[in-house]
Amino acid sequence: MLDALVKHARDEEFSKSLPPTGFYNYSQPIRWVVQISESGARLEEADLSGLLFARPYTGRTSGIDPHPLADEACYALGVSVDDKGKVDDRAAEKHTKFLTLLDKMEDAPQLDADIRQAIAQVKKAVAGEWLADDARWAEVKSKDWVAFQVQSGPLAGKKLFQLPAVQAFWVAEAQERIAVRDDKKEMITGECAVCGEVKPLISRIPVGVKLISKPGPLHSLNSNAFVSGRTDTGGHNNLCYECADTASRVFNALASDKQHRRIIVMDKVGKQVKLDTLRNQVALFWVEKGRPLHSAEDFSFQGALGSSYGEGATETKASESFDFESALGDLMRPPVADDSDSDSDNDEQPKPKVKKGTKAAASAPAPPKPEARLSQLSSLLNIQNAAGQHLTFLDGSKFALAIFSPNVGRTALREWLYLDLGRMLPHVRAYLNATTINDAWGKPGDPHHINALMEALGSKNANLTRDLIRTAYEGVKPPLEMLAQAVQRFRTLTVKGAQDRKKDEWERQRHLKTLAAALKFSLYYAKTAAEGGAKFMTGLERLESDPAYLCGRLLAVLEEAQQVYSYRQNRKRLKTTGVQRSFGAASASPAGIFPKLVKLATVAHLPKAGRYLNEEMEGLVRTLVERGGYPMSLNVEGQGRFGLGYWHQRGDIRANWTPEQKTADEQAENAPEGDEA
Amino acid sequence: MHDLSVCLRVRGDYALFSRPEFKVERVSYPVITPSAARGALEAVYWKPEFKYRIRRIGVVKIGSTATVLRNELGTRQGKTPVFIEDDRQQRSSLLLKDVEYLIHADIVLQPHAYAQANGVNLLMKHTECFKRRAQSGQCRHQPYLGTREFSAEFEAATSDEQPDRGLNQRLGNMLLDIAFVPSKTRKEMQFKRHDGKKWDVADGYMEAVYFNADLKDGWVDVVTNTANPYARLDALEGRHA
Repeated sequence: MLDALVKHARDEEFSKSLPPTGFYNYSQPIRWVVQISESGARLEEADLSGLLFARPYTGRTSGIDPHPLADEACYALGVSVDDKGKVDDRAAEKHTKFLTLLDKMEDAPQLDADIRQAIAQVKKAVAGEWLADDARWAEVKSKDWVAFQVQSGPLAGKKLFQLPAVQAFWVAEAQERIAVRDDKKEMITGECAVCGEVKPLISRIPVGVKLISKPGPLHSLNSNAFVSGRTDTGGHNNLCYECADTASRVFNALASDKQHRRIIVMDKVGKQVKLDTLRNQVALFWVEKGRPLHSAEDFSFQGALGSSYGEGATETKASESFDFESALGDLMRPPVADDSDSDSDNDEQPKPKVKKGTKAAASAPAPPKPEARLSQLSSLLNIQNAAGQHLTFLDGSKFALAIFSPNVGRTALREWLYLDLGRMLPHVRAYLNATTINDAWGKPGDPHHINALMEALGSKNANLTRDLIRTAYEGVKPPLEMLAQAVQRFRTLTVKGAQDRKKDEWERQRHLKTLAAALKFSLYYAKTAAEGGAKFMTGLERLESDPAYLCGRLLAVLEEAQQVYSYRQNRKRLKTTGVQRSFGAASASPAGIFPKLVKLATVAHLPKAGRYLNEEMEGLVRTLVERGGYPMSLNVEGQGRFGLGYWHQRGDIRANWTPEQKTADEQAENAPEGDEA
Repeated sequence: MHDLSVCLRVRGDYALFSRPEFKVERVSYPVITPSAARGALEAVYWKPEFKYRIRRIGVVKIGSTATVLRNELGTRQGKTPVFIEDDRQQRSSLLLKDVEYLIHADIVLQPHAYAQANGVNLLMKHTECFKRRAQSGQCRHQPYLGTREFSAEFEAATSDEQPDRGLNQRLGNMLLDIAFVPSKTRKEMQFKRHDGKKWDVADGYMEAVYFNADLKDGWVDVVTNTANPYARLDALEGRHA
């Protein structure tokens, strides 16, 4: 996993969002820039862009650890009083170390003559106390960040700590500071587990990674739990500085970008989130770009998706509004009811803390990218020719997905997928097709993301979620427990009947549809994947002759007959039908109840229910008799098919209503509740 | 000509070949490491006179991954008793499920073995010993796949048995083995070394050695005609350097 993170840092586009090696995006802005000329220096308050500067970082805590040419004022200028009036007793010592570092820089082979000259000027300015006469000197506090800039020569106008040569010096210096050392204080070298090169090995990773709350180490390190690959000096013996630092920086960049992060499970009790427990699971994903065989201009999403893509959208707009990488991650979107990702403590990259009374202000956040829809991705992947072209473009690309949990200060990797994109996309297509089902009114529906399935199942089982992720991206068989849960929940919500509160009823209907998709997904995923059929089992399958499926259809027909009869008799549709009473028994042991239901309907409802329903019922009963009659009992799979048959048939009846029936239904919905006939 | 390599088929319900960079919240390599494969062979038959060099590993079943959470001890047990309640840690392991491998290895004799050979072809002797034991299912201890909790079934294999030829994957840098490096400056541990005459205790340290692994047509070739990563291990240990 670390090697994939390091590899991703080489991505040209992504690398723009990363701070340089050994640098870190501090939350505190640079407040002061010391402008140095040949004969003097003056303090200048940093402009707004100073907020975004990445600065040298070694994970300094209480120790004295100076940074080159940009540091706190206690280091850079020897200021000892902070903004609360507290005096730092070690300010002089810190400043001395800072000057020692400047001396070291002057001798460093990485730096050229111009930089050496600039460093000499900095030393002169700092040691000569040129700044003490500055009008704003009294405003400088020990914790304010200070940078240096020269006003003349080839480096004029550049912040010295940002120069590539200074950065190269810092990498060597930081590596030296955190290297593992032997008894004679010599740096220990060895093969890095990630890059395989023989380099100095480090004792800790300087940059912590921020998964949910406070930063912690990317890898876990217990001083005495494991001995292999470890030195007696207590250090880690398997990573070099550059790999460890790069992996952490890439992690942080991905974790702070909502396009690359999805919260799978958040450990919440009420509104309180437990941030440091293993129940929390966060997915980070990215696409590692391969060798492009065709230029991006060859491929047009608009052309591939045709009319199904964004009604009336121009080509430019369409291309802009579809983020393929993010759409792949949308299979793990947070559920509607629990959009944990929008929590304030999980916000985008931490905004710099701005001190009151300074010029600095938080920069305006970048406008959010438009959301990609699963239906768009599904349409794209189902168009064979276009998808083929797209796959060619993505040849050699990889999809990487890592699921992490915090674990009491450590970071645990819970799942790791690293798949060829070309091989993965058919699995994604199969998942999307398998979770697409018509809605309760027979209209074409959209695919469901994994968290929607989990929400409808009423489950927070993270293992089940991860199994579903494996199915979606890797094509492994759907977890068996899902079917059992979906069957039970579908039955419960169906029997529960319509709710009085609109919100509750909306939620029930939404969950029922998702559960029907879950049933289809559990039962027919393999078949959908093998046949690549976007339409298979999405709506009513008249050719399906499975007795359980037929029984489900029959129950829907009998329910509708009761509704039509009631409407014709009383001009009211029923809120509670016989289905609520008999759904459980009918799905578990059809032979015990269907004869009675059919007899009742034949005598009471069907004579006044119209020709269509009578023919449907006769056809279904005939097929069932040919298939050996009503099943005595149905196992979980049978019950799943039963539920699916019921859902499909009901949607089909509603979709095929005549305008007259539709008008009647609308009137009935507005009418007061009727009693069961 | 008599085949002087050894072959073993190992399989198991679970396996965990810990990556050195993830040793606490453990993460497995996607396939067995040469180091773990050597451990499986040594469980069947081993003498101090020789060592195994893994030539290639065939992946019959690459398996799938699974995560388990276990309550573990934060420290190793030593002379001082450990009060478990104070030192319990819940840790996650990302492991492999349902794996099967073919291990092809060479037996390499240690220099001191020749001194006691008395004209016997030691290479043939040890190869035959291994094959006999593998065929009859004998082992010194039950082989395991990475960690001892995940024991392995094994059976003798022949060199013409094939893995899943459809498997192709770049595995990246993978642990080859741990070198026990004698050193006067880094006296981090002690281990036994044979100086050609007698066994002696040497001071030194451990160093992990890696190789660039590539799963091609079901095989991970460790030693090839052009590359022998064991050379670095030997160089570090001061043998054949």
